[in-house]
Amino acid sequence: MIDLNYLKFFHRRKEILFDNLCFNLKSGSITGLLGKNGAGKTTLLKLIAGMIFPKDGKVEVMGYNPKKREPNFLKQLYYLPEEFYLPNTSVKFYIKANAVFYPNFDYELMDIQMQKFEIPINNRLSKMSYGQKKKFLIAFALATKCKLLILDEPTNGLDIPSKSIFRKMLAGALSEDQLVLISTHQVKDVENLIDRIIILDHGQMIMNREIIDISEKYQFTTVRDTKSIEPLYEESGPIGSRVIVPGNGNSSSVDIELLFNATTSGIKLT
Amino acid sequence: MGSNNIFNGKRFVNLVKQYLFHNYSGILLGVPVLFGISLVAITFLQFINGDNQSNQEEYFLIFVFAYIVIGAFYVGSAFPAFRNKEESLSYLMVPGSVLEKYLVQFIFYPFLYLLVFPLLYFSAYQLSSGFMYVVNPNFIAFDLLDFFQNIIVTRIYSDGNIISEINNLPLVISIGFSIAMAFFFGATTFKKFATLKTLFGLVIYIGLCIGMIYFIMENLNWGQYHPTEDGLYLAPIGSKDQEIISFLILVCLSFGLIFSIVAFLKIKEKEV
Repeated sequence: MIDLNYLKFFHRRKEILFDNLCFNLKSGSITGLLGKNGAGKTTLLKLIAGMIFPKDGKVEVMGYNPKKREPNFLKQLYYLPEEFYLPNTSVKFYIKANAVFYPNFDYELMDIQMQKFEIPINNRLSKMSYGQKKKFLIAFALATKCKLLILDEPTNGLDIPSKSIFRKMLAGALSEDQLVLISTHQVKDVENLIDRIIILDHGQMIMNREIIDISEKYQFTTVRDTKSIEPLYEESGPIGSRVIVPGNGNSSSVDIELLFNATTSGIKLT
Repeated sequence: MGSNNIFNGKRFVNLVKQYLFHNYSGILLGVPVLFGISLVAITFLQFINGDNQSNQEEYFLIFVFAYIVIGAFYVGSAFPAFRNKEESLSYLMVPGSVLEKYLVQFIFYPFLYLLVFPLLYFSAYQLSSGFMYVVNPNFIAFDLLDFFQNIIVTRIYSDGNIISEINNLPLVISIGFSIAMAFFFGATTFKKFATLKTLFGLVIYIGLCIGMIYFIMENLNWGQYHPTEDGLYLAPIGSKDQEIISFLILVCLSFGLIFSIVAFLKIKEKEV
């Protein structure tokens, strides 16, 4: 679905962000794009959505060149940016005005999600809080049933119950032909949600793996004493050390935060 | 199966509807406000200008001045999404083609303004004059419509007789179009103070053109050149009045079209 070949991009010629970046992503996945601030997550998402253009290399999304921003491409893609704009109109009018552009828009799902998020339909969007607006746009994004959903920091501004609802909704509303790309630096928010992880660091892709693959190869656990084991990576905490150790046939759930910290500190998890 | 990526009627209608759904409050407010301000200003002037106002052409001058000034600011505010990064993103992600999005803005900014403002001003003038007749039976209004119809036709006289009439309406429309498109181009190009920057750019451009013409005419002595009637057949302007008007129309239309095309390309290449 997404093919990046030898992508080169820079904001300033002297500071190259991506140099020969290559990867591809297939549908039927919720992929987490993780990275520190300034790692290039939003830039990468914008390149995929066609909001900025590569300096060199090729970006192909669903067989289209995003740079052309063709309507047949845009109607299969929904991009929810971190900072968004909503017009001064009512929820009802917004749905009426915008849903028509997405051929698979599910009005019933939109109603259900709005109820779950407790968004009143007759409210004006301008009168809503940031969190309510974000919840409305998340509900809208999922209801579009677009083949590619790009969510940039979707959990920013959401309260704790809403984060939980978001995870449940996202996991329940997707079909096999969809790909969700979630960018976040709040790694805890996407735990138990994503099935693939991409980690960006200083414009380099330092990890692109399926979660199940990681869970089969490594164990993420907390131990009181690390002397008896040889951890690949450890972090001390108040009740012991959180460690990554070779799986040796035992699988465990992946501690995304620990994995992220290990990878960005230079630990090679092959 | 995908639809046409360049223009699709249904999608275009949806974009127009989207614009109306998002901006209906602004439109519903803007039209009566413009009408109301025109009405108040005209009524005030009619009150202070005495009973017989049949020769007071200032009402037309006010119309022209307001038409240009308000128009420059209104058309210069087209593509409001480009004034703000978040709005730009949202606008560019709407599944419509560049041509469709361009046409929607064209309809709601230069096209709508060029048609609606004269209607509002003339309606306000007629309403105000009617009101003045009611409160002051001696009031004689300036006939704005008649004046406009007279100046739109240039009559050429010879020995007191009209020998030809030239309709200037196409010229007026083409001048209006070219000015509007210059500000429309500015709206796609400049993020902040689009109108003022366009105005500044136009002043520099027109100044350079005038300077160049002055140089050609005065320093290169082209002004002293008087070709014979036979030699004039090569001149693009021609020598007859109608030909000169046609040439000016062509110049203005070309000017407007160039700005339209560049504005279109600007949206196509927009990055956020």
